[in-house]
Amino acid sequence: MSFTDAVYTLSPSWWRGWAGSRFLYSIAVQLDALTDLAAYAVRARFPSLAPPDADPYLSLDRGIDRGYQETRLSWLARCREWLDRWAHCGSPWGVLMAVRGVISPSLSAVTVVTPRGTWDSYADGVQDGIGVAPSHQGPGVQWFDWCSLSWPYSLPNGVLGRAVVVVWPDPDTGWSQGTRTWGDGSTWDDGGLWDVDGGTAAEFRSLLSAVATWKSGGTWVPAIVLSWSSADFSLGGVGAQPDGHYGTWSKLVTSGGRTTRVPSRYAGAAYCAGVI
Amino acid sequence: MIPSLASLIKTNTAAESLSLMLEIAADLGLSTTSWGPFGMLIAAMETMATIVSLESQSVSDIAQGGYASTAAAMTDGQGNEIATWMDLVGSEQYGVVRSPAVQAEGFVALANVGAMQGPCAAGSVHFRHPSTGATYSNTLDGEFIAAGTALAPVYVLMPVEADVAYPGSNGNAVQGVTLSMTTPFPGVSVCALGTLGSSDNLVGTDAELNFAFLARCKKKLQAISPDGADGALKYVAETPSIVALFGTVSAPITRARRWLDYATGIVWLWIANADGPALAGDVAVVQEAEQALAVPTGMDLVVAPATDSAIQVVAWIYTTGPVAGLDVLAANAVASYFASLPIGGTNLALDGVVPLSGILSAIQAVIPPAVTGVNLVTPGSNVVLGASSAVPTLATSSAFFVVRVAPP
Repeated sequence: MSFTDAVYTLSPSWWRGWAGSRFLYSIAVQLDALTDLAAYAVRARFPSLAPPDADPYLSLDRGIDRGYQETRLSWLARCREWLDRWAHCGSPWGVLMAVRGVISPSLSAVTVVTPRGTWDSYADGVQDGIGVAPSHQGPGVQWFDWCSLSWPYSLPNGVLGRAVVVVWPDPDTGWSQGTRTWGDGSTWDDGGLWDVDGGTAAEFRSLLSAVATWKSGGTWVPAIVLSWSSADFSLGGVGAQPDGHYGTWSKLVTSGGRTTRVPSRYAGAAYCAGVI
Repeated sequence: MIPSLASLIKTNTAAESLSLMLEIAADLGLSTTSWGPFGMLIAAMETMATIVSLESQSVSDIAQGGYASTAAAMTDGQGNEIATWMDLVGSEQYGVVRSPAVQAEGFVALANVGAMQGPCAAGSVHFRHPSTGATYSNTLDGEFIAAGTALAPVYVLMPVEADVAYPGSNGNAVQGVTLSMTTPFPGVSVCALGTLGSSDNLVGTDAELNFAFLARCKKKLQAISPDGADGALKYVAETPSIVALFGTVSAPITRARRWLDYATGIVWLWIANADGPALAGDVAVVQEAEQALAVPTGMDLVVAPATDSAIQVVAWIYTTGPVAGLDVLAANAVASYFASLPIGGTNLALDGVVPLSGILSAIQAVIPPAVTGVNLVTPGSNVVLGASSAVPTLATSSAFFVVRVAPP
């Protein structure tokens, strides 16, 4: 029973007249409002019932960041799974789910691969999630030698504890291979990216942050690769693969008696560095 | 429609509630303007409006208490943080309990130049800080040894702890301070801290503040996983109840930072307490806790003390209030501020610094509004810590000069 009804019912007859009932109603209706608000205040903490302006707090509390174009429904579903997801923190599975969260609703192919060839992947179009483990192959199924030949990461045991994240962005990510050229009118800090069309620096910062947060504390992720061709950097792919010189941006090549410095990384992909 | 969180958090004043009641009554046809300011009807509405206003605060608290991030930001009317809701969310939602305040403790040196001798029981010898008024008591049984002379006193090191009335940093005493004995013994005097084997500083650990507590709650999430996530390593080190399972530490670990050596693959975890770098014995206990609870197979983790980066602070303090003891309070305030900074300083992306503004704010907050100005002679700019493992501590060469000025 509402306060407005209760006050009317419980009042003596001389309060129920035209003026008395209106007087009581104008007070009791505020108590009804307070009761409703108290109920909403309790419900606001639950993802399914939270008002939209509570999203930032929900995200902070549960440590589940919303993807740059992820629907609210998808993100809320991940928020409800927060404890199950955090149980995967530090594993390739956890990293892959975090990356998929950033690029949601895209189901682009994603892989975490180690130098000694352990591949954990979600294929293009395959839904990730709790209870949907990524495919796992290796170690040694196909080495992924990122930097064994490039200073300063060429120490004998320096290949331990490393992993590279590779994303093959599909159109749903909104990202495509960069087409900018020098002198095309772009300006520094204009919000665009040199290597990626359609993306923003903020999107890639969130990608880096996701990998940094969800990887193991003992793992170094030297780069996140955005590969524009499924043939490149993939398990069994016939395209580009790292050759051990990817630790630095350039390498020395000797040809015909001349030594020249050339880019060390394949130009047909983009590389987000900075994950530690 | 679900009301917004902002509208749930907003409180209504009694005047706003009364205004709304009158508006509704008027809409219903009542001639509210004819009631007069002191009539029974308006008085009844004012009473109810006050009740509604108070209850709207309860609704606001419930809404804010629903999220750890908003619970941590709750303050009372004076701007003091409210701990109750964050305590509730921390324990019920994350299973984490706030780290309590720990009293300052250490050793003071006593010089016996007379015939005083014999045992003294724990808790029977009392001291007082000359500036802050904090009191201390000895924690272990001891014995005075006689036969000292003015030229050759006999020194005794006595373990002391701040009394419970002075928790956390309220019981801090920095190097150079000479505690006074409130339990006098003939011929026995107290030596200055930092001399004759006494502790350099007596530093207590404050109860965890809301946002530090919140940060630790979030690290707990990473500790759910057995895969050695960054936050899991820090959570184990910074949680006293977990560390206590593996041994006793001299002071709670309040700060931890992970660093990965790319060349060797070794994961370093630097740890510090409120006084600065953790002691070797504490490091061993934390290492054991990490190995047992947070280190996955194959990870080489080395727990190590943070490195000490002593910062000299020289400041002139202008005050309209009493001068006595203000220098010590300022030193304590800066030491407490340093104790609150993370290992490596703030702004880690840019070599980690101790912000000048933070030092100034700490001194200015000592006795507001009596402190009217601070002239910070040293440092002259943000202090770059350099080493990723560095924690700032107050250098013994620091000095705080107090000048009394006329009220404006």
